[in-house]
Amino acid sequence: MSNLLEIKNLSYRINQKLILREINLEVQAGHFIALAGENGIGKTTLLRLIASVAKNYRGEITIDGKTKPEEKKTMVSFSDQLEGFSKRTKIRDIEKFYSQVYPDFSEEKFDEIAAFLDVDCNNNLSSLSKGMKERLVIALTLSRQVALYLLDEPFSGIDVMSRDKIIKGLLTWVDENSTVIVSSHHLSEIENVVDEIIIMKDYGIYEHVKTDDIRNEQGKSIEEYFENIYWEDK
Amino acid sequence: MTSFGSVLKQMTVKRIKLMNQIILVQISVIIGSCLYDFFKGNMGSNDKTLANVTAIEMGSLIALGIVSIVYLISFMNLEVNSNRFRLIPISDIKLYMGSFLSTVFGFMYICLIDLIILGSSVLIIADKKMISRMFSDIHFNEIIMMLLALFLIFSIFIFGMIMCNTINILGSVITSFIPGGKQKIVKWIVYAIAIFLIYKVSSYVDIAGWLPGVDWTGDINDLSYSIMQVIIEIIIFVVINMNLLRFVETSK
Repeated sequence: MSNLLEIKNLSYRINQKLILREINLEVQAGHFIALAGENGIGKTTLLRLIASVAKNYRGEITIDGKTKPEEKKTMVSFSDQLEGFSKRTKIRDIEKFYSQVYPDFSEEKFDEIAAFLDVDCNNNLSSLSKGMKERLVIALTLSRQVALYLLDEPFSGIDVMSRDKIIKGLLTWVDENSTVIVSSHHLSEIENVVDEIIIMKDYGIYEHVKTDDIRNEQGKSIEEYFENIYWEDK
Repeated sequence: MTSFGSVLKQMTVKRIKLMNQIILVQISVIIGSCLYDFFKGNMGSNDKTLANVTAIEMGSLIALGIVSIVYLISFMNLEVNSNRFRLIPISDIKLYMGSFLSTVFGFMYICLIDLIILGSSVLIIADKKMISRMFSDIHFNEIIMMLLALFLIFSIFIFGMIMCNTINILGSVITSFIPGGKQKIVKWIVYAIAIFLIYKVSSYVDIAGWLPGVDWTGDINDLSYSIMQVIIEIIIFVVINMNLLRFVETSK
């Protein structure tokens, strides 16, 4: 099976500070993958590089064989934090913007996911709490029909009951042939939906492994496995 | 992939909506000021009224013109720096062309509306004798010169907006590479360097030098020369910006 996402020898610096070093990664279609690592390790940077909004890297990032940024962007939906919208922007106007600039955006799906997540689309951005804004971001991201979804810490600010509801919903909203990479610190909560985990450490990818292998061979949960990796050095 | 037309439409509609709000404020200011003058007894003969109203209109035009330019510049910078636009599946070149063209359309729109407001007040307030006096001594050449001068002023403002965008883009590119680039003092130094580089590039544009056989003497030729100079510089910096955009990251 050909790879959906291929990263070869990716290195990235910003202000001459090393962030990522010689990353190699292969991801196939139809998987749910957790991206884990301590704060500041470069998870968001890696997602931004895949989404083609971080630039000036060395190495190669290919999505379904495509290397041009505009072609890769047709295949990727990245959880944008809505920074380019003013606080007075109405949610319906954001939905309208998305439907007009993304040919693969489905308004019906957005309405369905937003209703499930209890997002009141008649409000404007300034009236949303942090958790509600995250739900809106999830709804917008998953309403595109793409091969690769990148969710960057989508559960921050969301209460534990809603997280559970969203995690269960993720499986129904995403096509089975699409891949979701979700960076999260709540590994125990997403354990039952993810089938692979990428662990980042020391500027790179420490491990990319199937969660079944961790459970069956090591007899550990993915959170225990992840914590052990970091405690090795401490 | 997203079509250029969709992106251009989104960007243009956003600017037109803002320009409409600014025009609404402008009309309110004009009406309010005129009513104030009327009740203060400052409006008398048609001449005096026209002079007062024109002065109010020019004042509001300048003040709100500055506001509209600041907003247009900030929109261009936002389209370069935010995920909202840079995640759209379209090439950086097309994205920038959309940003540039929608800025030109937005500014053209507010200029035209302001001209209509100015012209309408003349037609409403001035009587036939005044209008006939205004236009009796105008020759065709003077009309051409006036139109060229207006177009030159329009072009200079567009050039100014593109310059601000170039400073932002060049500044972003340079600061992302140098250590300490996020510190404010470093940013200001980089912007100063960017301004210097832009000045150097601009200074190389010399139409008279490139077309030595052309006679640029005379008022109309002089204006035409200035317009060509500005338009060529706009083209140069739009091309520079389009090509630099691939190095510009969005802010997190």
